Amino acid sequence: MSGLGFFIDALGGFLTSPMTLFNVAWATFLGILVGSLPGLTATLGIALLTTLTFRMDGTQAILILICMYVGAIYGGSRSAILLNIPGTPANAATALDGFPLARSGKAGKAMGIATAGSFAGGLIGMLALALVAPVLGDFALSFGSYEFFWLALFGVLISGQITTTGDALKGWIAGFIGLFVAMIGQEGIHSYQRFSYGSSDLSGGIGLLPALVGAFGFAEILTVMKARGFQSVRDASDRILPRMGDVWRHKRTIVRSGLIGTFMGLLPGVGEDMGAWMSYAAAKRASKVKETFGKGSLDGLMAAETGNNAAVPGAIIPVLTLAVPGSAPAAVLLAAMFIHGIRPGPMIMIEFPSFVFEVVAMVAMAMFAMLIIGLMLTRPLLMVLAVPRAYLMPLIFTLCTIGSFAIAGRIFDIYVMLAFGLIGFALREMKYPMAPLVLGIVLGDLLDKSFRRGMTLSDGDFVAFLTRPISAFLALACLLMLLGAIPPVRRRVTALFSSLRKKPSETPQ
Amino acid sequence: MVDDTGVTVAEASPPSDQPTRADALMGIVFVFFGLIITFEAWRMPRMEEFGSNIWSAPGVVPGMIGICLTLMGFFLFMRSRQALNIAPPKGEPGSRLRVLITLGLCFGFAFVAVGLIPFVLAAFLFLFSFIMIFDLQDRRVEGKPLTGNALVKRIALAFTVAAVAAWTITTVFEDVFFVRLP
Repeated sequence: MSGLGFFIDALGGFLTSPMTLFNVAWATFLGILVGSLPGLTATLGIALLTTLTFRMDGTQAILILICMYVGAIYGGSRSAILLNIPGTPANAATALDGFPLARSGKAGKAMGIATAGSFAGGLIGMLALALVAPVLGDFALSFGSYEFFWLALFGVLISGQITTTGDALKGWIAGFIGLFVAMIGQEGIHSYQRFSYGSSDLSGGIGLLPALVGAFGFAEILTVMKARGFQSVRDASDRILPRMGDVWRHKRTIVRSGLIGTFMGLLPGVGEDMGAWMSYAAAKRASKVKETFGKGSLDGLMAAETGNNAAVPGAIIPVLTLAVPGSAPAAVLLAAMFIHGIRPGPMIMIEFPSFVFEVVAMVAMAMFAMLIIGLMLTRPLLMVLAVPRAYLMPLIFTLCTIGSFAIAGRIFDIYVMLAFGLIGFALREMKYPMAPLVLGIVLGDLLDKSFRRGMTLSDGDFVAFLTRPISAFLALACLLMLLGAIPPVRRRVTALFSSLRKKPSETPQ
Repeated sequence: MVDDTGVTVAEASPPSDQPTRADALMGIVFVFFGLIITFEAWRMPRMEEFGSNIWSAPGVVPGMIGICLTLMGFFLFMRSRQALNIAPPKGEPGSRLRVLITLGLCFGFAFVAVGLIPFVLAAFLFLFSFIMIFDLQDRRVEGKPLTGNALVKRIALAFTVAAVAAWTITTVFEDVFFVRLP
């Protein structure tokens, strides 16, 4: 059966099952709620929902998690527009123009444009998922230990480089802390217990979900409680349903941001935040009215929301084909797939070819649910933002405690959540990004096994890591990233590029 | 950062990147942390006695991670060492106290109460005390402290919310989703 056939089959199955439609509706609605509440992120939402759904059928569970993912990234735009506090980090760029629009009495219009942008971005990303995933899956079949070692290292480095503003060092440190965390416990080649010191809990390793719930849940609670209360705009009495003409006016921004967002999603551990920032920056560069950006530009708002939602399906592409997450929420999705017996990675197009297109259909269901719920329930959702944090945060922490414990039933995982909450809070306060830390934890095992297997295969000759075309390319990319972080090298390269750019204009026509 | 209308806008801006005193101190911490990891990795068995390639030894990759962390910590320290003499910026008034209270309550619940008393009771006590403490504190900060009847009503509301939430969470997880609670 062809890809389109698998997709239509899956979509037909979902649309004719009342239970599936019910699951899509509540999970997307819950996702929008989670995203819109400061203190709850998409990563935390998916992690908590993984604990609730791990006894369900795998397809339904993954569908619910994808709906939560799509809903949460979109839902974050609500608090960004109305409170000037991004509901999730992916909506930070949304607040730049969304909040000024809301303050000038156009909150409804801003929410309408954000919804249209999110939907359009999601569709572009979904199309890319359907087209790119099978090709990348086939391509990944040629990957061996050498390629996977470089891919894991490249993932940690690029995530550290892009998720920090200008300072790759802090991102890399966060990534290497994540790699170290992945080294704790019994390793997979000789079954030796590393950094366990006789503790049976540590010998099992640090669970990804408790660590993420701590770093994204408990740390966020501390951040929210640290700040004073916030001022909000709760008047959205203007028209919410966007006019087709208003959306069509931004067609170039939508296509550009959709492509940028998808590409950012594809890069390991980069994800929705950078999808939004890069799209916003590109829209500003291309705009004839740059001065309106940051003061209520509809184009800026459209770019940010299209970019972050396009990154959602984009981040799922490497999850399915390489078992490498494109973002922090995608890392939880990857863990959930393993829990449900689905083995993402290069073999997916051989072992579960229909699953890739089922995921495309799941994204489509989530996108349409997001559009309908987002436009219909705008005013009721405003009431949720009025819940005081003193009531909301202890509830979230109670869920974090249950979420950490539920999957393995270990009290130790609650302690892991507390420890990672503290570490995450401290690192955030010092401007260390969390995405590379997560990616380090996820990719640590792959990096470790691939390096040691590769060295064993080549009998200790590291040159073997550089001679195959893909591994040589990835090694070069890592090297360039490292060199680019050295200030004198960066300055020279920048000077070289600017002199090259000047030369053609100096040549007389 | 506060804009012209007094609204906090820092949340929406990308973080700035000036070296700080904390960076220099963390640089030292990472150097020591990296050295400890490297030392511990060095102490791990080489597995040569089992006929394995030395490069497959369990300490190889942790050792590399330790060396990289040491180097990065060193660069971080070198880059920000001038900031050691700069006093750290003063935070928002009361923010440290709010964080400490939150930490105390959360650790009291998750580290002490959970597993010691039934979950529903632990959750109720945590929710009630958290809501009361911060609700009263927020009111005081806003200059509208609660007294008399208003205070009694607020306590009753917090009690009801905590009781209903603790019972609902416990029931939904245990009886609807069949998730075991600590």
